[in-house]
Amino acid sequence: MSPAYTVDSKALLKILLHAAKHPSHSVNGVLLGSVAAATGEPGSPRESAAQPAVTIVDAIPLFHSFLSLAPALEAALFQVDTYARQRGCEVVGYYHANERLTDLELGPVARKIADRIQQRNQHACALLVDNAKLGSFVQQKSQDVLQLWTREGGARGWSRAGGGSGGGSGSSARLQAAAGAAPLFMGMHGEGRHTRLHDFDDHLNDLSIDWINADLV
Amino acid sequence: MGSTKKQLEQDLAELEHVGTSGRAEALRSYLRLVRELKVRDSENVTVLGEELLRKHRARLGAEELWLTMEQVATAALDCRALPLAASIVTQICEKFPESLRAARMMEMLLEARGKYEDASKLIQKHLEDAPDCQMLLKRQVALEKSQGNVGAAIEALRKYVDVFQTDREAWEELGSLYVQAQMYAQAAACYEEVLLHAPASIAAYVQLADVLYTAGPGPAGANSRAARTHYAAAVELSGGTNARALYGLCAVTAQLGGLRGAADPDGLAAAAAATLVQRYAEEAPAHLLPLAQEMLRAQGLTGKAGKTAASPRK
Repeated sequence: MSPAYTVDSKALLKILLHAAKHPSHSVNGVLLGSVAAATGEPGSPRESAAQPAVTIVDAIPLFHSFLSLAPALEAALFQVDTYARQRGCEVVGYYHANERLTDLELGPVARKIADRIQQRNQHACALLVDNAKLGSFVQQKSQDVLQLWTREGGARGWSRAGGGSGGGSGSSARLQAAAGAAPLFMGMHGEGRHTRLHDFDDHLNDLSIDWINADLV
Repeated sequence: MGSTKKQLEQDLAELEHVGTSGRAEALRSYLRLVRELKVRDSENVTVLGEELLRKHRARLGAEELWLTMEQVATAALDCRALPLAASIVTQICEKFPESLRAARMMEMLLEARGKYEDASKLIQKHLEDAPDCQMLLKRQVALEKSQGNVGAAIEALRKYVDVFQTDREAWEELGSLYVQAQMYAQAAACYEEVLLHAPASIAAYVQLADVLYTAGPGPAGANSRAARTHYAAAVELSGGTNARALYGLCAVTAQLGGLRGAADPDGLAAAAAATLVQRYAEEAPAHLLPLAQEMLRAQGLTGKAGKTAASPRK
């Protein structure tokens, strides 16, 4: 099973705005969207095995400090789940951005949280902001700024799509991110949009803060 | 906390509207405020500080000049405006060649450039003459952190707190490193030290309780019970206004005895839940209230939809 993941620009932009707001911290959040179990097209070169198509339509920012502490994390995951059901969509993944520019892996804390999400939705993925690609993204030389990680289940843990490290077979899942995000993001950042994004962490410090950010992007 | 943000926002707004003649004063005022409040606002400090230094340097007295330069260089490093940072750090080191504070700036610049060996050697060299220099000992920890060596950072900081046992900031940092390493028992020990030094700090109670809760119930629920005590203390100290403490009290009670309030003999968790609902109703955007309510219901702490909250706390 090699799922195909599509990331809408709204989700991509919110992930980047969240990371941009807290450049010296790791940040994380949850991905909302839907899963369509597609079947192979007749006559297509692919085998007729069913290939789920996951569409990620929104990203809900959760934390920028102490990402792994349970009480806040559990409250956030529960409430996002309720929100998703209200909206008629599902929690389809987890996103993370590492605090160190040279850290390009999905670390143990991220994997642990991604595990919880994947336990409830077998098609859930993890998107890691690719710190190495940030430079060329902001210079608008490349559209590519996310790493896709999936978990094939069983004893094998999370692996990066499109070839992992060490020659092991990376996951065969595919990621299609919305085009044209780079200039949009740079425009938003220029006018300070990232300072108006608020996560669940902010909400816990001030209940009047809206962590859904429905109209931000 | 709210007033800090407000003051800064006011100063920044002033900068938007002030004319050219008032600009230098407005820039100085903002940078001074950031120094006093010890806030990390590196984007603004870099841009505005660079302007002040470039256009109005002559207006600054000696002490303010070097404070400002140190401040702007640090902010520039934070934003990776490395050429600007390098230029200022060079000037600082030329002006104060014997200074440990200047050496610290140089170390930070080397670190930002990824020259980790040079940075380490620089620290070692100065520590030979000043082995108790807390600033440089902390840079050693930071240097390990920068390279992703959480284990080494923990080791270095443990040695530090062995000597400087009353440094609250150091205990907090060590606690957060242990949390990063998912070593919750050790993290809890650090936050207990923080609490010893700050027995009236709501945040300290919540932080310790959060770590104990995350560590898992422990033998005979010891962690959960301790967490519950600390959450309760935080709720009381904050007059029921700290959302993390309220959430924590509900969560740990659910952890202790399953649902149906079996572990809530004094009704504390039920009261916390009621307070949370009331706070949401009064303060939060309307669409967030049902999300919180649903969760509290699942924890068995509130009644069915439509039931009113318990009598309001004063």
